[in-house]
Amino acid sequence: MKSRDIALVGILLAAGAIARYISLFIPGAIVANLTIAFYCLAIILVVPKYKEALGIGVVAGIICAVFSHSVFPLGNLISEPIGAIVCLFVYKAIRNKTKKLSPTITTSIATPASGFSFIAITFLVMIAPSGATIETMIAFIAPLIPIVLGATVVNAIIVQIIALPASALMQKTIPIQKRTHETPANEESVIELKNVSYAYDSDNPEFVLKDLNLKIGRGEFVIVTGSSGAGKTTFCKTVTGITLHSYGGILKGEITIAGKYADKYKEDELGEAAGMVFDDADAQLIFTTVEEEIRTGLETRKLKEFEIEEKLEELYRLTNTKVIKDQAPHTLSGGQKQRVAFAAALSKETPILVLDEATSELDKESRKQIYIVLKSLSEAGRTVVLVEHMIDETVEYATRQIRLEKGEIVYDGIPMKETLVVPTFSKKPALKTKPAAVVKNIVHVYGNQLKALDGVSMELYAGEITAIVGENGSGKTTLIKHLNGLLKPTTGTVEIFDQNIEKMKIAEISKNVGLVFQNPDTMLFENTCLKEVLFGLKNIRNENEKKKTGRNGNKKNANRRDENKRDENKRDENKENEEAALTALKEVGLSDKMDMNPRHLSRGERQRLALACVIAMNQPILILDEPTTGLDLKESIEIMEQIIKLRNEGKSVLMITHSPKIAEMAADCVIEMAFGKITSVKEITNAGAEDMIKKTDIRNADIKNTDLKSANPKNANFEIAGGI
Amino acid sequence: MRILKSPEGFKMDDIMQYVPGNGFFHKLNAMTKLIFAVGMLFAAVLTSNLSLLAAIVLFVAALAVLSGLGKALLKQLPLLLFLSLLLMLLTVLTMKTGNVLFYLIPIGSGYISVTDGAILFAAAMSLRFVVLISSFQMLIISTKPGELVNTLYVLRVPNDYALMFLIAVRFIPTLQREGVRINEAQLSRGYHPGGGVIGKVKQIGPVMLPLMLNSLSKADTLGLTIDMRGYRKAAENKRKIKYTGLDFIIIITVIIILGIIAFLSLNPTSFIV
Repeated sequence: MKSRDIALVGILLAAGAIARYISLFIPGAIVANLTIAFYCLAIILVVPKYKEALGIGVVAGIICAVFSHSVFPLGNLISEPIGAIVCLFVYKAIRNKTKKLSPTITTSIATPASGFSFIAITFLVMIAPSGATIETMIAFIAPLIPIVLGATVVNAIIVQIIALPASALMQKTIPIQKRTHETPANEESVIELKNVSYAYDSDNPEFVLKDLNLKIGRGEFVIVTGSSGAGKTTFCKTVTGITLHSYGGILKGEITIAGKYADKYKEDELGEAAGMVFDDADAQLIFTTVEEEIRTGLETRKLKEFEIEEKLEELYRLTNTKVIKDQAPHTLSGGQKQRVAFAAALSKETPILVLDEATSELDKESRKQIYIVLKSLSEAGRTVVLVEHMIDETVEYATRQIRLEKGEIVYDGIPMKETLVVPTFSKKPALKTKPAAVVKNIVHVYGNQLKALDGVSMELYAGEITAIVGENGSGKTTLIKHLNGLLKPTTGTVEIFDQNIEKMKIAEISKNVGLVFQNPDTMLFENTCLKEVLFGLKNIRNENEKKKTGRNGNKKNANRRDENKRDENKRDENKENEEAALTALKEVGLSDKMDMNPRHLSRGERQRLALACVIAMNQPILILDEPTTGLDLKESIEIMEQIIKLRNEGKSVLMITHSPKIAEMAADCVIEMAFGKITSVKEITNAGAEDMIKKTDIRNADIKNTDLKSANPKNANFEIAGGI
Repeated sequence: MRILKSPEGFKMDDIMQYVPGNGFFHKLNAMTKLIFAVGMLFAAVLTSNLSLLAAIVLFVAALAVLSGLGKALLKQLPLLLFLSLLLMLLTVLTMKTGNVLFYLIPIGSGYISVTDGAILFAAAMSLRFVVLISSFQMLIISTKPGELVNTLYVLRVPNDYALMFLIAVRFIPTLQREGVRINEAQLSRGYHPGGGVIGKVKQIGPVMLPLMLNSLSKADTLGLTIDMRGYRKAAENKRKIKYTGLDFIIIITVIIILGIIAFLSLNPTSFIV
């Protein structure tokens, strides 16, 4: 099996464990196994060999036995492999006959196969030998039959809903594209691209990289910049040889990595030459503690025990990870995850190190620390490639900048600061009338210990943008969750249009308050953009209807005329909704993509779609959590233009941002938070902004780890592995 | 135990039920605990003698209390009671061996007889389930997820499958949290699926679908990371496990118990209830 398939199965089994756990709230559900749906999904997506399916079944069995209060754990170890084998067998038999329904049919056969074998085994071992009568056995089994059948139906629904979109999402992987070379590789070159072009889809070749020629040498520290969709990630995956090894598609030209053509490396050798930190930090953490994550990288290098300990300490120091070494990945913040992923990549001590937006969630101190480490590595002779949005910050550290645009190199030279001028927006003067929302002295305590919010008060006005800035963990996200009722304050009140929202349902509050979370992917699920926008509108309509029928619910005089009228109303509303949705999509510039799958949009476009979803709902108060993360300055400005337009229409906007530039550009008022308290409130006039920028400038960042200030590459324990 | 709090009464315990502690069960290595759990399972299956089963239950309970796991184990009580009552009811209704003790409906000559055979049988079954569920719970509560994975390596489970299990264990809490986050995002859009089974099924689209698609898109990066860092070969370094005196004591105790029970159930005449 390929590593990716292993990862895929692992993740699906995790989901299966959760599904099974949730299902335990139904009495008797101990037999109805929803995990089956997920290993069936895994088998349908991966289509493994029979032996591998058996292995998947055994792992699923272990998970069921271990995490779900199974009444007979050994039974799971037998019944789940049976289910897996049946699943593979059925799927292989029917997948060519009925493409659309094959996941459902497969699951509907595999679920009872596994469920009934579990029952049979449990009875054979646990109950039958103890002298139960036939009647008793039948009485035991009879109530279990509907449970298994119920699970079969639910499993079939789950698989059918997820299988198709999931298989559309999976990229084809092709192991290694062996090629013939006219000349031997240049043994001196560290990274060399010769006429390299690359397209992911070989049927419909749209080249993401176009005819790149490039040499990156020993000791260079290169920053790669460009707007999203410029091909930066593909560039990273190409200079590390990943595109050649793991993806299908078309690759032209020659890639040389550490003196060898990329395809001459075996799959597991490539990792010795080049290390890469991907942008999704969470997906790079595999082990259950930070220490294991970093240590395993060292262990794979056949070092002596004391060397491992020494290097481990060094890595902790370089990345400030010692304090979190016993923590599990899910307890880490985004920034901490990025530091661990960085440490794990460093542990391999590869001559080439590539980081793809690997610092996006770090605060300025940590970013500076990483730049210093990277600089010292490059000074020690390693080659560093860094993709960054914060170009200005890296200028002092990097030795070279490459700017990509539409897959081509448009600049290659010394690092330069960004020249993009931030436009000034036309803002209507703010109308300080009655506040739309009032937060009064709220305190929020998580569990018994942590005071996430400690006496926060603020007011939001119509026609104003309020920005909240502050470091990770200062309570920003906790605060905004109080404004639409996702969290209730431990003490204090939240009033929306003079109404205390404590007793209101979220669905009710959402008529007035729209909230968009940081990552648009947490909300997008429909298969077209239009449907996605309509989802919220439908919810509001449902809520309104519930209210209406709630009032007239007891009157049973709903005769036919009323029903007709309601149908008519519904049709009108559908029309209205669709119009509102189309207008919203037009506002954010996505009308030509209304039928596209949101997952095929770029990150910036997805962010705009999320914005369209709240624009369509037309709520007077909008709350946006980091609306510009993952976007470059140009895209951020586009988003801010939208938000300012909403402001000028009289909406009250509250947004969290970590970018001082954004706050200065758009907000009327900037609130700074630290440790759950508001530390400063600033009405923004153009003069006040200067101060904000200075405060968040990386040059003023203070690094706690004093050793690093004088990081001397010659003293570093880290030497270049392999040698170039 | 940490509890994930989410709005509108949607609460979920962490599935990872590991509770940090310092009791002696925590000090055993995962392998010993697994041997204990499986040993108790076999002991409970080998005999249907009520007093022997009761003795095993007492043994397991004593160990739990001694190692400070009693409280965590008590959480299983509702499930166990439910199971026992169900077994009792079904057996009494269908099994008529032994002497009639009384009638459930004492009208005329009486309907639905309750026999001592049925009650003894149901009691034995219940005790058996108690042993199974609690001994496995003790393993889960006292063992870090990472150590569980380690046992697979020690048991020589092929590397790929151990890695699969590792990834599942690693992602269970992540997916739980992500699920809560997605649920919050959809609630913020005015979504109100309602409670109960129907509500859960309704959530498959807006909550489960983005959860699965987001996680599956991680598989790509995860797979690449495994390759680049050479984790598929990592197993060679993981097959270490330390046995202490305490481990040996437990293992020997388990073997003795199994031996006694095997002997007694093979020679039923030498043992009278």
